[in-house]
Amino acid sequence: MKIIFFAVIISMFFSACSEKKAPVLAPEYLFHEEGQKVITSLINDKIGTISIIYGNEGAFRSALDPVKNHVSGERYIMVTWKQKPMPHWYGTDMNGPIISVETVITRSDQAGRVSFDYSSALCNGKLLDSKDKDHNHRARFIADQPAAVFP
Amino acid sequence: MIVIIGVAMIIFVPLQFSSPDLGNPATKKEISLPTEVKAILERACYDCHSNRSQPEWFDRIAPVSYMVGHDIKEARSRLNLSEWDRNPPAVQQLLLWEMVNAIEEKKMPLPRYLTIHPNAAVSPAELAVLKQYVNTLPGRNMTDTSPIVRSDSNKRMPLVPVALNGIHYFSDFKTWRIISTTDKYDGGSMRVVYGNDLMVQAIKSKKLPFPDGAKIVKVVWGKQHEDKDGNILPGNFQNVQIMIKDRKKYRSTEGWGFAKFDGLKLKPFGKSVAFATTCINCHRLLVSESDFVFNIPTK
Repeated sequence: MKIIFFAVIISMFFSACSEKKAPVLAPEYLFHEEGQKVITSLINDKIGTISIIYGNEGAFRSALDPVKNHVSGERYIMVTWKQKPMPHWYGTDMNGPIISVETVITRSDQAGRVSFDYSSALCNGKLLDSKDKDHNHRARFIADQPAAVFP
Repeated sequence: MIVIIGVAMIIFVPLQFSSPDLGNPATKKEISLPTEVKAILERACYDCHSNRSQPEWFDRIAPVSYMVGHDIKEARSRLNLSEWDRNPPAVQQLLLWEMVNAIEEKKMPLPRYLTIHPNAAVSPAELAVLKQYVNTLPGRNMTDTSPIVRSDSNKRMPLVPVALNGIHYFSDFKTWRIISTTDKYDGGSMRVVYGNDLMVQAIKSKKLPFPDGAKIVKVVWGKQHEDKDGNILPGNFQNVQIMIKDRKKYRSTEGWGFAKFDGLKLKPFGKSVAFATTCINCHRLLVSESDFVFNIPTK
């Protein structure tokens, strides 16, 4: 008899937890480009964004180099998402929709001087920050970030 | 009618003799809280999450007493505000944030408990008080000011680290796709979350639950000080957290195998295989509808 009552109680226990609202997955928030490794990530609470800087092998090598001797052929991609609160956990913000994809490519002239080609795809034609209008400054900001520590 | 009452009495009366004891163990170390916060918790949480339970008379009558006894036992094992020093300080903070989240998500107090104990309900204003409180905890906005220590990539690890549940560390996640990136401001860390092909395909096809073989790897760093433009960069590496889906192998943890490897030496986390229970308890409470995963891109 005790077993029957236990069964009733346990079923009540689980039925009380069965209220579920399925989330809508958002694959459009994913970014991927073959051959790119994560160099680092950035949070900017002032403008409410969260970013990842990816790089090709050359860019990755440069990011690991404390002296930052850039060479031709490095390719950086900085993807920036709008921050949003993490669903179901107050205390964490996460990436929402992608708002910009910036690309930096290093090239060298005959004298061996390295320059930085910068291009960006910004949603709604808006710049995130007026300071970023200086493309060379922005390119150096992206290309000069040190690699985050991985084991 | 007399027969029905008679049968009911035959069932009901003996049950009372085997009813569980709802007594309180001694209070060891009570949590210290601001008065207004404590008042909310005493009314909403203490009946189950402390050694100061005060069950109503009807809670003590079987078969209700069985359910109440089960709830109190389970609740004390998860969070006991009367044995607070059982948890290290970092875990205490995490438990307090989890408590706020459980209330916000309306998972706590348990809805069926609220039905017969409406006085335990936490109002939006009271939840705001609790949120304000957790935002004063030391982990909030914690920054990593230590010089960044880098591993020597030329040095190979002597052995592949293995978690107590048998999950091996692996490094090929670095070629996987990123499924999310997070700012965990409750504990001062930032994370990049990778998913293997099966995980990414499931997200792309908007399919839940995730299939067996789906894997998630979360890389965790401290947060450096904000620069003048508002940028915050990763500080020291803290840990790698792994989730592997295998419904059969990890049945007791909702089909997910958990592993965590701490520091650059990737020391397996936990003192016993029960460490995974701590992980799934929180995931089960708050994200059962997302196949027990927090870090997925959702609208």
